Amino acid sequence: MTKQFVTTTVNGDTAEFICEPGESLLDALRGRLQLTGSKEGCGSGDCGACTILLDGEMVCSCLVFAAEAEGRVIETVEGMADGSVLHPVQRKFLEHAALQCGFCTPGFLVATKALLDHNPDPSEHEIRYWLAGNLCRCTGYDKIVRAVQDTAREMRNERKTA
Amino acid sequence: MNAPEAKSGFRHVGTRPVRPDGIDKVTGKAIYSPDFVAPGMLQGAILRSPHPHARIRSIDTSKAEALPGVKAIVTADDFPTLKSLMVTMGESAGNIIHVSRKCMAQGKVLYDGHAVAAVAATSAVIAAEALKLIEVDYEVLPHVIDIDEAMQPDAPLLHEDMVTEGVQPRPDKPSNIPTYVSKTKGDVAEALGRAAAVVEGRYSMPMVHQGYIEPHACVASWNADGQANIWCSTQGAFVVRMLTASVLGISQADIRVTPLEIGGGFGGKTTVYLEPVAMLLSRKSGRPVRLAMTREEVFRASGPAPGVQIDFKIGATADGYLLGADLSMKYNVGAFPGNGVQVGLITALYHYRFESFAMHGWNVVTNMPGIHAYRAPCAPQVNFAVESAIDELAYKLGIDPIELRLKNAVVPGDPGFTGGTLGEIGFVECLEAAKAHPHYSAPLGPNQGRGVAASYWINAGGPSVAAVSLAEDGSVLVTTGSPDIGGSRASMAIMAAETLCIPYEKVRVTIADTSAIGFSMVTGGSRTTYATGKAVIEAAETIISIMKARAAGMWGVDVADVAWGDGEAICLDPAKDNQRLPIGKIAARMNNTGGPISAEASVNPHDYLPAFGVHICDSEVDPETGQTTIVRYTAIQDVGRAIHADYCEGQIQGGAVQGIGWALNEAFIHDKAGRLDNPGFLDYRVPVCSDLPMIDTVMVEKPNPAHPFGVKGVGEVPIVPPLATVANAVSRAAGVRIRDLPLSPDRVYSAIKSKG
Amino acid sequence: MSRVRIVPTGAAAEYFGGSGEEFDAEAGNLFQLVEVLDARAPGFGDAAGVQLVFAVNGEVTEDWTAPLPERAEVLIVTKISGG
Ligand code: FES
Ligand code: FES
Repeated sequence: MTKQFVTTTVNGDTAEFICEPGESLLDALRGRLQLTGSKEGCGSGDCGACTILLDGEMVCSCLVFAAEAEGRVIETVEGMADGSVLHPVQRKFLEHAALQCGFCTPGFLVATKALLDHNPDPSEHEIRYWLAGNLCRCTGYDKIVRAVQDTAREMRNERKTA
Repeated sequence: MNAPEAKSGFRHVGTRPVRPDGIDKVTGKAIYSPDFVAPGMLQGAILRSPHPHARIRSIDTSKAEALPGVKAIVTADDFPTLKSLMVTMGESAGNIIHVSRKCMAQGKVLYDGHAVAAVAATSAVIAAEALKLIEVDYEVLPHVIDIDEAMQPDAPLLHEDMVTEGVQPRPDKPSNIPTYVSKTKGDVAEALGRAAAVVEGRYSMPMVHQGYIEPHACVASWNADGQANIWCSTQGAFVVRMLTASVLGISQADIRVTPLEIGGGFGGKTTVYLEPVAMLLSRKSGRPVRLAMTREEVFRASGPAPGVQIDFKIGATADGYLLGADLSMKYNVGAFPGNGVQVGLITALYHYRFESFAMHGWNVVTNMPGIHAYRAPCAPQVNFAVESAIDELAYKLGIDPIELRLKNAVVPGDPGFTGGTLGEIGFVECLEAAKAHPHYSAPLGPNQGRGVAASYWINAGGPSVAAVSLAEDGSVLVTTGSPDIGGSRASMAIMAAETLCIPYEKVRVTIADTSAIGFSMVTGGSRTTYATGKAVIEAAETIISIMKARAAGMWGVDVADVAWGDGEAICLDPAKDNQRLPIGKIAARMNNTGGPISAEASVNPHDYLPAFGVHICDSEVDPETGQTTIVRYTAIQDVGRAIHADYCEGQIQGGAVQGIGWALNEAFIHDKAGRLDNPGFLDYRVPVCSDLPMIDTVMVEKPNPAHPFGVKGVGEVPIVPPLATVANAVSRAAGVRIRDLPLSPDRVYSAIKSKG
Repeated sequence: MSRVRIVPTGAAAEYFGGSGEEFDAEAGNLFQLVEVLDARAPGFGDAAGVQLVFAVNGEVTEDWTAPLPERAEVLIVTKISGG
């Protein structure tokens, strides 16, 4: 099979790569573009460590073909901070110690951003179900949920005062 | 939250500052083992057995070798023949032959997924293609998965030369039972005869897995002169060095192991599966080689926790004093002899004052992957049986379950687990805190039940080295050899800052490679904050004495006239009018006062204390489906003293949730052919966010007098009580006692139906 | 030289007949004791410290140079693993 040439947008910049037809977008991001922030915990859509936004929608990048990225807009954990200013959810994860090993963290951060983009005031129940596709084996989720609640609160207040 | 919350007398200990490695980990910059790239690196892959038990007649790699892009192939023939040798791994010992055979099957495959050959190629696609071209001729042998079946005299034998240790006279025939252990005290039969109430039952659970989200991965580069680099994620770079050197028969100093960030380990990353294989591939190809497991490989071919079958009988007086316990434990240790029931023996009963007991235990080998450490290894299994039975006993006697535990709880001065006496343990304090907690008296809803259980873990000390040095501006560098698996850089920085009385942000912590610092034991056994922390504190204290001497020189006073406080030297000589020299000024002048200021401390402390935990759980069981929901959960633990309160709580919450998963869902399931049926997160179901409530934690602080800040070790004990805590809650909610884990909906449903 | 009581348990018992029976030995410190016990049960020396640890009068003792008290009880136990 012939390799494919893909042009896409990653974290606001144009990115180009050549990939195998069967290659996952996660492998392309990590292997071809050296964006190793997105992690592979399973490769089968079960752990959420590879979560990215594709045209604003949350997806498991291990389940997307790299070739499908052609002409699309990709956001990964590497693009969340504004330069050296952390996104509020990144800051809140640190303040709440919502990570231990940190391997699941990129996926949780991207998923949380997607949640708060959709729903600025989620209940605990909504947070827990939205994040149910992201596995964390270290934290027991308690501090993650608290960090998400606190992020939502802060972002709402900022919007009010803005 | 990282609000300033300093405990009286401490400026940093007990606060919650942001971890020093935090930004890298929330921005995707941190390099974990699957992220590491070496120049010119090849991609490796491992061929694994589809059979649980088979003799390898031959392996033909010629077709694979001919495939363009294939640079090296390794089989058992490339491994040196080893003499049986016991080596220390983590705090336990293992036979180096078994370590080697877990990396590559030799002669026989012993479980589904056992490695038989490995390939390195210019791409992962070619490596995968090459695996398909390797021809292995297997003579399939009968296999055994079940504990009882493996113990039968006519069971298929895994190891023809394995004879049970610990029985007299020594058996003359091999068996699948590597170990028998026992311990007795008093006359149990007589004691149980006097009991007002007796509970008896058989408890069981299958193998479970640590389930770290980061699969094992490494890159190895072995040069022609014999020197090598290994980059990997591990709980102990030194154990990787020692095991790899021992398996390959080379000098330890020739291997430099750099620990990358680690995506969870829980005990499972204190050994090697890939590193020696990657080394051999690298030597053959002359290039660096990456080997990385898929999730399926992690489940099929790493080191799970043993399944068990336990018979337990326990009796007490009418007013709830424990008289006797009769305990028989069988631990399924997988394909190789391991440390299973030996630990069960010392983690079963010593938290209560039994008048008498009889404990018997067997390890049993089966055609499953050999077990490895999983958080308080081997303690949760036996604790499940003991604490389930204690709960039943309490209800039988009409005594509150916490009250019954209080009546029998060990206190400081009682006999310890290794003889001697127990030190400043906080078991009673934990039980009292549980009793007083609002959770314990909160009303329950329909179909809900409340469970409690208690447990302990021995904790550990052991060797560690730490180095502390001053930069020219007075900022401080701490270097250790203890990988950070859950915030230990932060706790090391806190302890150094506390000792030196300087701001937390002035201290930076590095985890060094094995060639840059002296030996440290693994990050495991709940030892790091305690033992490596002691080394950091000791090195920081040496730095203070050096700085005092340097300040004395600068002032021209006697060193006895210099004190240290607030991050500065204070001159006590009245003539000098209480002058002060801040750390920055001393550092700036250090090369005029004798040279660089640095110190290394090497320690091997053993004055650690065991940790105790008491958990409370409310569960709700749907009588129509058997589905269990955890409604409320509280974990109470004596932490000695919390250095970083958030990461202490995090350890407790994470351990509790792993235990909840173990109780409710997790299980290795094998099909009739002996193959693992659920080697993925879809079917091996670890708890997800929507399964759980918040996990409330209560940290009881009864400091360890032998640690400058009172540390006891927190990481492991929280996984021990949840199994029985949840089972006790579910048994109350369902109105029927269930003694087998996991408490899956079908099991709970049929238990409800069978009670009629 | 002190006369001490040896209490071998678990895997340690294997080296001394397997029954776990206690016995007396004479040694000044744990290094000497290991030598004495290795002479009695070849192979013991290799396992000591790797697979086995010593508890002298109830205290796990890693410093083998410390003098053994007269009549001390030396419990030999299997090392256990943490995660
Ligand atoms: S790696 Fe994509 S969901 Fe696990
Ligand atoms: S922090 Fe380790 S998996 Fe989530």
